[in-house]
Amino acid sequence: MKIEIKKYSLELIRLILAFLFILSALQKFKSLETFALSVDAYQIFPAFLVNLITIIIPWLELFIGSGLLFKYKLQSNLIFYLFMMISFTILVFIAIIKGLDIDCGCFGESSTKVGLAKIMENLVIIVMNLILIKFQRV
Amino acid sequence: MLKLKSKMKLNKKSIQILKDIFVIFILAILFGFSYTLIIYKDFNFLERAKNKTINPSNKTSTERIKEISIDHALNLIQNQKPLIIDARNESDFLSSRIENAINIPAKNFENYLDLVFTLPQDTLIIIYCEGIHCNLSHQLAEKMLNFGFTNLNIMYEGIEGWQKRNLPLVKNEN
Repeated sequence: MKIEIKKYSLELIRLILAFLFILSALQKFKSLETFALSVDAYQIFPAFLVNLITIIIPWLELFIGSGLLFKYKLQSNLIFYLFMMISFTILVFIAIIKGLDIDCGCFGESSTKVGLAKIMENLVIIVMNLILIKFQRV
Repeated sequence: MLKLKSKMKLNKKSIQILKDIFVIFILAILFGFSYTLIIYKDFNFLERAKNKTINPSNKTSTERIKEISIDHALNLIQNQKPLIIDARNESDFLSSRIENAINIPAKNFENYLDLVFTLPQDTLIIIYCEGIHCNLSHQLAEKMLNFGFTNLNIMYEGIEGWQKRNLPLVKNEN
């Protein structure tokens, strides 16, 4: 019984993480220009890097999200997911320190503002990710 | 011996993970650039986005929404008494706003329809949000346009630009 609960919980976490990244990618695809402005608003990257991030990140999210959804190369996708979430969280943290009042850019035009709530949200996702990396059988 | 074997297995696994990550990354680059080339034919998203926001000639899809500078807005405020609308959310509006501005949050427009219906459709309106990176003014202007408003102006530098020029703001001290 316990094993069953654990198994289904892990499956649920996997699906939630996959859904989050796929949704995030699709929202960004709706308006890549808005995403570029969101990245630029962090005031960290030069223009060419902003464009590069705009071009690559949505596809990375789509591939990693799909990898989780279809259980393809699960461990690798989870580690890449973790790396990206840690990077996003660091960016949000820098924006807070700089006192920027900007949208995080996480879900395209439906993004929320950067702030402690966003960091907490990211930390929850990171913990879910770590749980999967530790317990999910590949 | 067993330890060495498990260490080697772990190394092999790590190398495989690194290889997979590299492949995913390369795929994302290939798909990203191909997609951009096919759909947008130009890799400079940032410049295009900024042009859309700043350049009055191609800022919005319709000519009925104008983008104006702060100087232009000040001129209108002094001479034509426009209605100033803050498109940000309620808490941002309450913490600081331009004098006489009212709040119609772009993301919560539907809850402000009662107010919108009381406004004459030919009212001269100036809309602002945070700054040039903010898209809320445009979202609100498009929505108001659909409700028949004909004299919509977006102050594209937003409240950030207003503040930078030390123009007066109403601030909530709480």
